[in-house]
Amino acid sequence: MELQVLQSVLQEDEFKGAAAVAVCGESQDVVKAGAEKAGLKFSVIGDSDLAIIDAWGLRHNDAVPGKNTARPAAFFVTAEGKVARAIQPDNYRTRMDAAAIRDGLRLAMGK
Amino acid sequence: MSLPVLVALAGTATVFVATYLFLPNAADVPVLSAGDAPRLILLGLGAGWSLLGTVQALRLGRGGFKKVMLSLVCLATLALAGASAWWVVDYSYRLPKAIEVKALDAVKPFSGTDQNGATVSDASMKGKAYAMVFTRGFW
Repeated sequence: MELQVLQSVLQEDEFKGAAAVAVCGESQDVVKAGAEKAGLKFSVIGDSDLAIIDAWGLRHNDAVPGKNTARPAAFFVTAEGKVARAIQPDNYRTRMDAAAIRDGLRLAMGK
Repeated sequence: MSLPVLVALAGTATVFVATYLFLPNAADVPVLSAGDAPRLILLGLGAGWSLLGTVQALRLGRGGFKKVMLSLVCLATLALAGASAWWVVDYSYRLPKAIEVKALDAVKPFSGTDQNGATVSDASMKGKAYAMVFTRGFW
């Protein structure tokens, strides 16, 4: 799972000081259980009413039949709050790998 | 019922089972649940059995009505197998259009509660570089 890859990259010495926030269209209970099970230390926001997802324009209706959630996307943000890189795959098969996460974090950290 | 007809109908049943296993709430069958490949193989096997059984039944069997019905079932099975495979391999993985983001655009505002009950927002994240990841969920 991408979030676990992100977690392991954040633990690398090069990325000390960087952080992550994940957003998913699940309830707080599901997010809490999922984050614990996956061993995620960074913040995972349960956006069950899709408020953030809609504000960002990332809603995916019927991602699973009858269920609306976010399309996968990642934005690497600088300390000044600017988007240094965006990764928005056009297909679920395209997964964000550790190399892409490292590149994005380096850009965001100005390295 | 002759052996070719049984093979053809077993193929049809296999295609139905394989199609069902692709549905989101289908029962989890461990040996068939590791990615798409096992279920796609099952679809292919089912379609193959259906075609083989039907061809043999048309060659060796009797009864025009039976042959027509079996041919129709075979065609429906092949269509279902093809549609299921296309849906899985292509359509079900498509995503909505990406949003437009230019390099060094300001991050869009956000505020929400994380798994620990803490409020996280664009303001609270200011001062550190971070990855903002949108994910489909934990299923």
